[in-house]
Amino acid sequence: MSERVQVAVIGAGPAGLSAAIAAASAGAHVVLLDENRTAGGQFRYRSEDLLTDVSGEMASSPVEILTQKALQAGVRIRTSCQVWGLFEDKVIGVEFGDSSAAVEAERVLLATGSVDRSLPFPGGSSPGVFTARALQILLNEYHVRPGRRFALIGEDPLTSELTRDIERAGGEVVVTYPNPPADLAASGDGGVNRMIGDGTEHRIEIIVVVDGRLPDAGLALMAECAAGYDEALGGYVPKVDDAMETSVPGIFAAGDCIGICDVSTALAEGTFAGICVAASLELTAIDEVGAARERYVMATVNRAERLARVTGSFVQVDREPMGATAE
Amino acid sequence: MNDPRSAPRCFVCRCEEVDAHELREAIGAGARTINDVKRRTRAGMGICQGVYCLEQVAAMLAEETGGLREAVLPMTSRPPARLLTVGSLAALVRDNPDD
Repeated sequence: MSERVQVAVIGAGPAGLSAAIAAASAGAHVVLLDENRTAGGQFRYRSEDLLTDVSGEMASSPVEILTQKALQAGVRIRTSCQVWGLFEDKVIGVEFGDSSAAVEAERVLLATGSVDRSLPFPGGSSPGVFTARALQILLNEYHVRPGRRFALIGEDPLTSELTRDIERAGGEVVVTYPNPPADLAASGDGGVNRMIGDGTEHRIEIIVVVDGRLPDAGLALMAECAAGYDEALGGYVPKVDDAMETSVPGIFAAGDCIGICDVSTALAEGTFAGICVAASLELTAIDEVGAARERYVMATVNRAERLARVTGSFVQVDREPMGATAE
Repeated sequence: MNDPRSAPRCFVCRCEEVDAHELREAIGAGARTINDVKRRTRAGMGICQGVYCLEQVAAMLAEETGGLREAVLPMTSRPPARLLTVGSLAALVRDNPDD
């Protein structure tokens, strides 16, 4: 199967969904691709009380509301399909079921999100050791509690949300190490029963590594989009211009894949990027891009810095050599 | 060194079962990039394609060589980015015989 599409949005999380809605609302023919069985990305498994912060309108069921909006705008949503390649001339390799297709897109918008950062330690590859989002998927999407007594290793903005999720599911956080102890080790018979940390033995069943997220930039790098390392953005990320286009003409990007951000930023950035895609196809007046950028940046204080960072125009302070004294 | 990764049988790359000791050995033998380490040890070449381990490999490269983390370039990104069956790729060729 070989097909052509006008706009392919890769990833149906908050950034991808809002980008698809914005582009389709401007008149673009949009296909939204996601490897999971349902659209929504992190909306599928993040706790609801966090999502009420995003927008009052979305308080109840953000996935349904966004999916509904996307369908009304004419977006074709294809789930359970894996995008495994991004080639020259914006040809996408997609696997649907047991067959692959080469899809040629006039515009590609990458919204591939991010993955959990891991922590290797002895016993860390045993069943019973999870990263934070993996556990959230199990608890909140599949409603399975893999054990009763939990240990949290590391700390990130997700820690308190995760603790609530565990307690709501009937589990108990027995011990938390905000910094991974040097002697961290897990052992058990076919799973985890014991964990050592700072010389103390803990009887726990589940270890959760909570250590932030890494941008999933694989497809952007495959397409040879210019990228750079920025610790504040979470690692190596493709750079975009101030209309969210990467260095490869016709390939745009938004959300976690260009730098880790919160849900509301991903939503707003997706909307802005979708408008930029529509403008590049001359479906939207070009001055609408400036207005959309203003709306995106003006919403909160840190958006201007975010935009400056993802475009690579953020002024980096030269690193002091090791041991130098700051003035 | 007080590093949980130093322990024996602590897999950094769990797909290919590569531990920290093997990675340090590769760096000691002259590997200077993620691609070098990958070719020598297979770290990052398993089913997750480095999602789990390459950040750790990059950090180790910076540590062991005394370089900056941002100077360690990511692994060359090649298709397939996801696990595929040969059958599904064959379907692509069968349906597009001229490509």
